[in-house]
Amino acid sequence: MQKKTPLSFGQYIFIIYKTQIGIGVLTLPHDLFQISGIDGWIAVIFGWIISLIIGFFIVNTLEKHPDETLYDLLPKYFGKWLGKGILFCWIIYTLYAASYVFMYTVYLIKVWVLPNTSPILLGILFIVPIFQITVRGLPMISRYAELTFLVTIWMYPIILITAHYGMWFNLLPIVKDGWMPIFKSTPTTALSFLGFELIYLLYPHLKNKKQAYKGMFIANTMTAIVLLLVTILSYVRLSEAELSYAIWPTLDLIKLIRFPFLERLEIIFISAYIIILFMTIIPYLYMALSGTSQLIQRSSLKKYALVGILFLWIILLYSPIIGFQPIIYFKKWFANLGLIFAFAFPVLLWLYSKVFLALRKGQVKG
Amino acid sequence: MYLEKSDIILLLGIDLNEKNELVFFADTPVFNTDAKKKDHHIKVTAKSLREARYRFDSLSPGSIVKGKIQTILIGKKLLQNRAVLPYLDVILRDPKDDLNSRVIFIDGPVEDIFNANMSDKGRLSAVIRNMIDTSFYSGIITNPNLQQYVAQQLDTRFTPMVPAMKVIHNEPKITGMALLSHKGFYVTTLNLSESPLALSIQAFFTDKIPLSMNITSDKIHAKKELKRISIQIKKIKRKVDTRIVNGHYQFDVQLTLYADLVERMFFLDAEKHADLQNKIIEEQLDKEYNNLIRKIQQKKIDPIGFGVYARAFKYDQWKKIKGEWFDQYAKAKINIRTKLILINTGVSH
Repeated sequence: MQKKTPLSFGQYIFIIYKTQIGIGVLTLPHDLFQISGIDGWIAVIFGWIISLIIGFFIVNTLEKHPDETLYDLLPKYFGKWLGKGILFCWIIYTLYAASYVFMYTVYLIKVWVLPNTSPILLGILFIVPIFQITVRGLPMISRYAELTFLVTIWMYPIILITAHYGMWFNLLPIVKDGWMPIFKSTPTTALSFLGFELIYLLYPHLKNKKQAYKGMFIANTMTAIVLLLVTILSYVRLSEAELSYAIWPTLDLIKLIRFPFLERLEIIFISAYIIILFMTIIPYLYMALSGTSQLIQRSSLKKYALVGILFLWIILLYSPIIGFQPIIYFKKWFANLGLIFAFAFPVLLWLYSKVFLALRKGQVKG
Repeated sequence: MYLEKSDIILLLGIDLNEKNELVFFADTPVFNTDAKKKDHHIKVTAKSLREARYRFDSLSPGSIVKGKIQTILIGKKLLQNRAVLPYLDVILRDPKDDLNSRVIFIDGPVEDIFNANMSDKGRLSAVIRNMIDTSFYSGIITNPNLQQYVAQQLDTRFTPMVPAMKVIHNEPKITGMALLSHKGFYVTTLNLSESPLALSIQAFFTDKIPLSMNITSDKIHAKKELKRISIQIKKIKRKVDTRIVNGHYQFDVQLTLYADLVERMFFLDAEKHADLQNKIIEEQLDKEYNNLIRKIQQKKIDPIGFGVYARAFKYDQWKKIKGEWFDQYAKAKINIRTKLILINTGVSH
């Protein structure tokens, strides 16, 4: 068993919250608009409720084993080989998530800020801080999460400036075409809520276990507020035609903010957004790494695995993966994998654990 | 890159020439101290804005920078023959470009603006932008930026309204607001006394508006040329009642204007007849509003945005008429009733 580094309540919230806020926020208004039109913002509320329920299942599953992460639980529940198989799937998922967000960050910076710079150069610059933070493990990540929260706290309130010339009548009538399109678009919000599955890893480290539910609730709610803010303001300020063709409505929204002393706020915003995106990459990468060391039962290999992954990312940047089509295509994959691992899996594991524990109890008694 | 070696486009003009070819104009500031003139005007013919950029480059002493465009001028001839939106695609697509550039309609050839007398004003690009911005702050016109213009143009609920400029005796002058159709063609212009009226009904953009009007009421006995009142609106409350009557839309607009009386050129004992003063202004406003509405309804354009209310409050009907709001709008009945509350009348009654 690893030595546990204690995690304060605040750190627990910030890690979850800042992992959730990532690439989803930038594109969500467009994705929702495609399916449910102007009523898309209501889907965020449904997404929030579902995330809370899933979060409840996750914490409830772990409550029975307060000192064990998901990775310790899997072999216990499913036996050695099946447990390792599921563990392997989790490593693939978290690694995919980290890699995808990394590629997305490079692409985003390339399109919006540095169009003439080689993506490889950007990648090399990005992996340095990622390596430095990930290699020091959870204590460093939790501190980075706190820092991220403080440094980027100005970023979402600043969008409120755009509300000034907004047309609030755009939102009326609420639920104009019935509830069906809204329900249909609810899975789309999943991508933006991904990140609470980190509780599987964080829970054993949390100092006061009673606050796990509360922390999960606060983190999910903060994310939901940011998503609602961005979605509603986009719908109020941008026209329907723009929403249907703009890839990053949130950034278009920020582009409209103009101060007498500053013409292009979005450049500063996106540059600062790298900090937030790193905070999505790093926890997933860490989760993949600790899964790997669990799988091969050797934690000394962690560092080499990390270096290997980062080098692989740089090599991937040589291929034409940094382009519009692949980024859109792989996003669907990420969203679908997220639905399986972060939404379906916790429910199944919770049910399984109930049955499993009941059976074992019966065996002991018998 | 040295500033002296770059040509930063601050003002962009698009128009058609006599042979119906697209012409692009650019105005760039000159920083080179050896140059005698302060700005460099470039004129090219090209098929698209992107092609024009290469042509600009070949005429420019430095390299062209197009991310800082402050104002986009669109000529009358172009808007009478073609919609301008496809030509702006290159600006909307490139994230390096600024969406905050203002869009201005030029009543006449755009070339006139570039030949206008600037010797007593300053750099052309800065002058034009300042003229538009100051008129906006005083509430006479709106100045939609590129994003707002595109949004208005693509919206199915209302039609765009952009500031109009004209060159008269070699001097640029703001003449009011140009109204474009949903397809993007020029329809008509509201003059400087009509455009504040239009802005005061439109709920979305501005609140501080000056109004100046001739009183036609018989209750006032004064010489015709002296029957004038000016008010400065401070705040507007709009209540729009949307109804369906006989299958057509009906809008009852209740405007409450909180305003200062800034000018009254005839004598009226306002201390004794406080109601009378309010009443004649309200009557006059009702009349002018209805004239304005009739004018734009006949042209089947909706710059004020009644379509927004039509969709927000009567969505069932909106679904039925989908896609042809502007035809329906021409048939709609619009009643505007004004209530005036004078806050301040200055130092006299």
